[in-house]
Amino acid sequence: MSAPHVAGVAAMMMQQGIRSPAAIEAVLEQYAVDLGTPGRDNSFGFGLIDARAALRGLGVAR
Amino acid sequence: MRAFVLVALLTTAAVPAAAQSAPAVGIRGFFAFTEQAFSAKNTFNAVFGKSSGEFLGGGAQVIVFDTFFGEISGSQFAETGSRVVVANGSAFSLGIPLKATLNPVELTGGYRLRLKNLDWLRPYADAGVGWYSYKETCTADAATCSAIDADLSAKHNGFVMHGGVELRLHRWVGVTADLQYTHIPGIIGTDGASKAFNEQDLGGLGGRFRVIVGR
Repeated sequence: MSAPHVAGVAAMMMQQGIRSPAAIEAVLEQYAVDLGTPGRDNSFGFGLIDARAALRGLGVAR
Repeated sequence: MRAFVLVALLTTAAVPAAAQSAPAVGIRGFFAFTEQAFSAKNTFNAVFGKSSGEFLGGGAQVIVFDTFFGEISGSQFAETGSRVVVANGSAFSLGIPLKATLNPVELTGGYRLRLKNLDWLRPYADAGVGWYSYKETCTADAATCSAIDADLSAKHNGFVMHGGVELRLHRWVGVTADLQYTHIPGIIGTDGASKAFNEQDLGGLGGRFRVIVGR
C-alpha cells in the first residue's frame, strides 16, 4: 500500500512546481524516515515517507 | 565615466592640508552602504535567487592622534526569498515565501596612514569582532506558516576586517570606500539549504561606502 501514498506526495510536489522525476525521487528518499537496517534495505526501502518534511522545504538555516 | 567624473569632482573639492589640523581625539559619525557577496553562494542563490545583498547602517568612530581609530557600527540586511528543496545538488523552489534579516553590530580598531602631500586621502585598515543576529521568518499565510513551523532566530560572534581609503570633501565631511571581509560561523550549516550545500559561513566579501560627518 506504499505506492498510492508515494504517488500522492509526488503529485503534491509536482503541484509545488517540481517537475523532474529524478528530483522528486531524490526528495522523497532524502526526507524519508529511515526504518529497519540503517540506509536502504529490502524490507522498508528508504523508510517511511514524510510528506510534511518533503513539502516544507528548506530555508537558509532551517 | 560617471564614476570618473565623480572622483575628479571629489578630488578637486578636497580641503587643503593646512585647513585640516585635527584634534588629539575626534569623534565622528557615519552612514554606511555595503554590497556583499556571501560566502554561502549556493545557499543564497537557491533561496533568494542571488548570492549578494545590501547592508544599510551607520556608526561612530573615535580617532586618536589622527592615526589610530576605533569604531562601532550597526547595519541590517533584509531579503525575501522562497523555501526550496535540494536534490542532487540542484534547488527547486516550493513557492513558500520567507524573509531573512541579518543584523550585525561590529566593533573594530585600526590605523590610518598619512600620505605626504596627500592629506585629503587617508588609506586605512581595521579589524575586529562582530555580534550577528539572524532571523528567518515565514511570510506565507498563517495556516502554511503554522504547518511548516520554520521560523528561526540565531546569534553568533564573528570576525570582520576592512581596508580602504578615506577622501576628505570638506572640513567636516568625508567619504570612504573599502573592502570588507566577514567570517560568521555558527549560524548556518547545521540545517536548511546551507546544510544541503555544506556551507557554514554567513559572512562574505563586500564593498563598503560611507559618508563620514566630523573631523
